[in-house]
Amino acid sequence: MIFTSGAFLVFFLVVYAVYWILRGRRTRIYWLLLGSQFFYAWWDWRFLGLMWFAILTCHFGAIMVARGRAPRLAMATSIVALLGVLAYFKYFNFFVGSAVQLLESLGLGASPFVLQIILPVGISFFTFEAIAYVVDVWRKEVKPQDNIAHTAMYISFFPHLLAGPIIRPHDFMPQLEQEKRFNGADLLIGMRLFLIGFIYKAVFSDNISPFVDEVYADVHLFDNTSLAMATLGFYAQIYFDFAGYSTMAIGVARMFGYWFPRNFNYPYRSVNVTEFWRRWHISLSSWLRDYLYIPLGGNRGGESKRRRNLMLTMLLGGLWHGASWNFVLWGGLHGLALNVHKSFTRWAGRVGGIAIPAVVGTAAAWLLTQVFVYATWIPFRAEGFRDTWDVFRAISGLRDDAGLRTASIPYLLIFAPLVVDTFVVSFLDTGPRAAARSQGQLRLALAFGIAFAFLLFMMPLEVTSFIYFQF
Amino acid sequence: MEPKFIALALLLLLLVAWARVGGRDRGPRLLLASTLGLLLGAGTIKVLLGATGYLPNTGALRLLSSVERQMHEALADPSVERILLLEGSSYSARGVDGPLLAKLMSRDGPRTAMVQVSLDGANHFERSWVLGNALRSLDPAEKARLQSVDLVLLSEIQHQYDIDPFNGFERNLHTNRTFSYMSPVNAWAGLRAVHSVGAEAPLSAWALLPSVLSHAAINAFSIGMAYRSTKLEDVSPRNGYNPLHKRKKRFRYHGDMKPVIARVEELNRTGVEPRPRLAWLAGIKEARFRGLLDGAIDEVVHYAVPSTDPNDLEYVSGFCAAPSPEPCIGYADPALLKRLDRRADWNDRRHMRVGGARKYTEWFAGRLQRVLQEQGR
Repeated sequence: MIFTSGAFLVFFLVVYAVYWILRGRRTRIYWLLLGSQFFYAWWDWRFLGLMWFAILTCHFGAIMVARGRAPRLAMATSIVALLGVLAYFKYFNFFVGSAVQLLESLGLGASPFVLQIILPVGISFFTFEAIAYVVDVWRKEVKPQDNIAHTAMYISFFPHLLAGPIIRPHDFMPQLEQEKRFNGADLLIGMRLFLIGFIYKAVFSDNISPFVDEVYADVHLFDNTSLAMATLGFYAQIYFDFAGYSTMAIGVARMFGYWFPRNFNYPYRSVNVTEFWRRWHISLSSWLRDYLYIPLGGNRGGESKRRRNLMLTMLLGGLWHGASWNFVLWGGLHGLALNVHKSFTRWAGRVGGIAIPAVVGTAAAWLLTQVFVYATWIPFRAEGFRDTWDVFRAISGLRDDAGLRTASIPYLLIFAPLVVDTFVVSFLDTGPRAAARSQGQLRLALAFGIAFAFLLFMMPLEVTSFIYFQF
Repeated sequence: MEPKFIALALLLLLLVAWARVGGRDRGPRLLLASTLGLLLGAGTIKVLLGATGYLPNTGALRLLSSVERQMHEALADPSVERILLLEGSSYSARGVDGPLLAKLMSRDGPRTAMVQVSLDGANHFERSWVLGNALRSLDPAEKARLQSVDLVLLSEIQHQYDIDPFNGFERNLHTNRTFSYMSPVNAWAGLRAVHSVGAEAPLSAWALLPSVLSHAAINAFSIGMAYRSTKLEDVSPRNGYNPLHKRKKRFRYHGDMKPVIARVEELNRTGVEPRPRLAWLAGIKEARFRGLLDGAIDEVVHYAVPSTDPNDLEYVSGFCAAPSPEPCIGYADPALLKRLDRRADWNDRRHMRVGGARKYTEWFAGRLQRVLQEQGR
């Protein structure tokens, strides 16, 4: 049940209406909890048990940590258990397959051993949230919840359940203690975010994806222009897809009176790769910083250790996206770029900057950053190293494309949304401004309704899943 | 995605991103306003689509194009005194040669024109969707002429479509075909029809409810219509009579008609047990056709196209034996069926080939002529 499906709209209307009819904070929490279980079970009810394993592990792990009974052991056990489940479901076949390939390349025969494992949707997200909870309790940043319903809500609240944003306990848990009141501000803010996300996902991403999928399904069939444009299409698609889903999730939560942190902040405006990671999938990059980079040592221990820690963080961050060496390569390239950028910044600081006009410098930095981001989407999207290399060669003009097919390229559909979003919408979206007056709000709600009708009109009926579901 | 839709999406994005949100208004009023906006928007889109001539792009559009043309031609011809409006499924699309029927009827009676609304796999709701759209294309003069001409509705009797008002819906679920005709009005009428059929219907109204509702919502809000609509003028027409020239692969005719003939002869000896007509056929199906044609129908004649399936015969015979002021032309005529007892006449067990269609149409024209004369027409 994804946000742009009819099933979700019906589900939402029912859950939303009953939620606000019900009285009392606890009753509403239980209702949302019930709705969230239904939401997850809609995909595959068998994996509810797995989600509850994460809930129970982090709940009781946090209680044991807080009670001071071998807290480090309790935390470590919880994390190992949570990561163990994630590793089994997500990485077992990948590592076994890689080991078999390695042995075969060394001339040692090995029989492939593959299990039929279904990847439970959202497992990477709720595992990270569960780990964050135990660690934050250990760090004494949050108090453990006595009521398991609160922990369950934190993990399974349906807007963020399947594809984030990755919610942090200190952001979410206190909200469970607040009495929610039905108010126009939350409703309008939520609707606005939902509409923006809906345009991103249902109109832009879903219309671009057929072209990208067609070309990337067999990169050897298409000429260099098609591949270059398909990669640009993916550059647009993945942003609109994931930012769209996140924005809708934040909007839906807001309509229930819950605040989620921003997950995307116009990353294609970034003028360096460090800034890119402050704007792209913010909840993941901050999670990786707080629960991986800093525990690894962070900036402590000198420059070489910092570089190592950053590289390791990005490699593991890449692997988080999926069980494929292509994701590791993608993470590694970004880790490398982050290190290069840090070194460059340090060097530029030492030499007192570079003597070029600011506008030219910014434009060049933006272009360089975006070309890098564009290029790194190739391993992210391609099927394996061979396709990745083929696309790189094609785009660089190193591949002879005589006799190859030219795809029908939707230039306007790729360029127009990217340009408008990056250079216009990002400047309009300046955060909270003066609220509209009562009459204005009514007109706004009316306009949002009309806008939604037109978006439904432009929404392809073949609902495609979100790219980030697989992660 | 067409440039105009990209531009519209970008405009909406800019407007929504620019919107100042917040304030202290109470939620319910805003909720009501946004719902009103949604309905207003959906209504506007419907009006715009209608005004610009866009329709859901389905196979039925080819039939619609032909029906529209047949209607305009019939109403423009001052010599036409009678219009036969034939509605049916694949049985009649394969088995009733409309142009031949009109020719034979004109030869032996008043000048007759034919409008054939027959389509493979089309249930009543799809047929009425086609007819409704065709009628919308008539100008006031044509509408007035329709009221004055002798209009005979030939309504198909078919076991599967009668006991299952949504026949074909489940098979084509989540296709443009089902989205196009499942308007909220059709959904409501269909659910009532299924409910009235009761236990005989393959699926209950409750079982159908979720998929019918989701289709009705998609239809009402024109979801995805930006990509699944086209103009009728861009569609090549296909006649309601769509003859088959070859037999179906793996179909072998082994005198399949013989048991049917034997059963007809037996029924002629013993008499037929009348089968009460399903309430929805008069209360919903016929009433909706009458409503669509604004009372222009002068006569309703029920008819059935032969098949080699004995179940069809039992149903049709029982239906026609039931007392009704409306004439019924079944096919329980051994002479006709013996003429159709040929391999070359059948495509499969239920659908005739072109040769069979010709024989049946000639027979049907004679019966229809007689029936109409009996009715004083």
